[in-house]
This record gives sequence, structure tokens and C-alpha cells, in this order.
Amino acid sequence: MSSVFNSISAFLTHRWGGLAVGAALLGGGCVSVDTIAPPVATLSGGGGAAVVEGRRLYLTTCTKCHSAEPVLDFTAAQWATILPEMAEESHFTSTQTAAVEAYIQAVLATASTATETR
Amino acid sequence: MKLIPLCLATITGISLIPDAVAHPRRFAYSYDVMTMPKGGVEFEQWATWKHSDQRERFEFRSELEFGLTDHDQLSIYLSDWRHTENEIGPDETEWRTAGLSWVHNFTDPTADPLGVATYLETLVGPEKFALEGKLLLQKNIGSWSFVYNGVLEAEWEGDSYDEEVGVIENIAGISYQISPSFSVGAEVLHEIEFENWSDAGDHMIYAGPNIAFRAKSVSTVLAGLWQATDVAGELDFQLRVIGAIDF
Ligand code: HEC
Repeated sequence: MSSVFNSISAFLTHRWGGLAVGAALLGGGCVSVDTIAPPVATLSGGGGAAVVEGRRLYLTTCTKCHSAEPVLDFTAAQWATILPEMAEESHFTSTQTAAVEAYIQAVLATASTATETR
Repeated sequence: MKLIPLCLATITGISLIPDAVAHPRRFAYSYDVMTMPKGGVEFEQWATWKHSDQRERFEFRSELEFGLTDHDQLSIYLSDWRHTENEIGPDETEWRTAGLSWVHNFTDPTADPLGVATYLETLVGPEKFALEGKLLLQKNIGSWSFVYNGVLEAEWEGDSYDEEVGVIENIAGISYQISPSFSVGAEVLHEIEFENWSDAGDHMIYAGPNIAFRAKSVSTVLAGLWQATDVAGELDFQLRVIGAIDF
């Protein structure tokens, strides 16, 4: 038994040690969910039911194919082309698309007021 | 001959399916916690190459996945078959099993603190009957995804299903998304078999990298696992590729 665990630990140290260091260096990818998709309570316009639903869809359905993309990584102009395409990928109803759009707009609006008042 | 009705079933199945959204895999050996959205349909083709001193084995699986609700996914394993090239003795091609699995998702790996799901599977064939349960855990943090599967499997093999085997597996995976269509990571598989549920076999550990690619309606994942333990007579290496297309 102990030889099994010795070989595991040797293996982990040799081959995965490098990966762990690499992972730590790439730690930039480890952004918290509140940074990626700010909670509705932190948005300047507050949020109606659509905005709340929009964030939920953004974090659940929009993550079926890839990681949650930080909302603020894209400008309003970029979202205007990305969102219709991704809403189609998600097979959203028009209500669901409108909810995600409302949420993205609320996040962008909050960020732009924050910059203006700085 | 058995393959013909199965192929027909697959083709008719595919042509009947509605337009729906997929859920591409980031792992080839680990299952993730997310299920397909309600109405989602995906066809998957698996191929696994298993290399050992005594033989080369190629295993194939054709699968249809359905999103029953936003939290329940049904999979139909249409056909599992394998081709074995033995070092000593003749080569064999065997049709193994068909079966079903059901994943129920409880929590989301991104929105909730921990994503949790359960997986139940049954496979039936002329020389094999198997029942399997898995506990699936997953956490997504930024571009990273971490998964763990705890697996308990009971198998009855042989002409009269009299060779009884229990299997316990621990599978873990890590994946980093480089772009929305591309991720890389690694998977580790620990396995122990109990013949007749009593005699524990050797602890087997396999580990290696994975790579996943997804575009509009197609996706693929590839993983190669090397034996990290030093058990003679077991697999030295295994490679799995899964290609998926959604409808
Ligand atoms: C069915 C799978 C799928 C779903 C669901 C999905 N996406 Fe995507 N997404 C992709 C793929 C594939 C790419 C990369 C290729 C491309 O741009 O088409 C992508 C790319 C992106 C990008 C990067 C675009 C760029 O120009 O860099 C963003 C942002 C994005 N998705 C957001 C979303 C949002 C928001 C949702 C939910 C409304 C969503 N995605 C749902 C598959 C999906």
C-alpha cells in the first residue's frame, strides 16, 4: 500500500507540481463571481425582476458552454453584436433575452457612472 | 446484425429532434454537474483506446442525451461495442451493452457555492449487466472548473452473469478556459475493483491532460491518461475522444 502512495506522491510532485505553479501564475483566471457578474444590489439603478432574472440566466444558462465571461470585458457596442448571437445559442425566449440585456445594461450603466464621478 | 436496428433508431431519432441547445463537455472521464436545458438534444460518439502489454482494445459508444427539465438529463446509450487485438489468441469484436442514465442537478457550479448532481446508470448486454451511481461535485471559479466524481458500480459479467464485481472510482478534473471555444486541463482516475465484493484488487491510478474545443453546434474533448501506479498486467495508457453534435 505505502508504495502506491509513494508513487502517487512522487508522481504528483513531478508532473503536477509544474502544473500547480502554472495554475497559480494563471490565477488571474480565478475571478470571483461578483466581479464577473456584479450582484443586482450593487447596481446603481437597483434592479427590477427582469434584472434579477437576467443575472440568474447569465450565471446559469450562459455557462452551459463556457465560463461566465466578465460583463465589463465588453463594451455596449460589443454586447450589441455578441448578445443576440449568444441568446440564439441559448435558445432564449424574447423575454429571457430582454432580461439578460436589462442586466448587462444595468452593469454597464453602473460602471460608467462610477467612472464619471471619479 | 444487431447494429442495423440500432443505426436506424439513431438516424430516425436524430431526424425527429427539435432545435435545441447543447452542453459541451470540458472533461472526457469526469462528468460535470450541469445538465442540458429542457428540450436540449445531443448526439455523442465516444472512442476509447486502451493499451496494455497483452492487448490493444478499442471501445465505442453512441449516445443520445436529452434535457428532460432544466435539471434532469436522460441519456440513452444506444450501443457500446469493442474491438480487441490480443497479443496471444485471436482478435475479437463484441457488442457489449445498451443502457440508460439519468443525471439530476441540485445546485449550479457557478451561481451556487458548490454544484451538486447525482448520476444513475444501467447497462444491459448478452454478457454484462451493470448498475452505477455517481455523486458529482463541481465548482467554477472564473475561467477555472474543478470537478469530482465518486463512483460505485456493480457488474455481473459472463454468459450467466455469474462473475460479480464491485468497483469504486474517484475521478477528479481541472479545466482552464483559454477562450470560450477552447479549454485545457487534466484528469485523475483512481479505481479499485472487488471481485465478488470481497477481494480488493490493486489500487489503480491514471492521470493525464485533456483538451476541449467547441464551436456552434459541435464540440469535442480528448484526454490521455497514463498509469501512475506500477501494476503489471493492467492498462499502461488510455486515450478517449468524445465528439458531440447538438440539434
Ligand atoms: C450553446 C453554447 C453557448 C451558449 C449557451 C452560450 N455561448 Fe457564449 N459562446 C459560445 C461559443 C462557442 C463562443 C466562441 C465562438 C463564438 O464567438 O461564436 C462563445 C463566445 C462568447 C463570448 C465571447 C465573444 C467574443 O467576441 O469574444 C461571450 C461574451 C459570450 N459567449 C457570452 C455568452 C452569454 C452572455 C450567453 C448567454 C446569453 C452565452 N454566451 C451562451 C457558446 C455558447
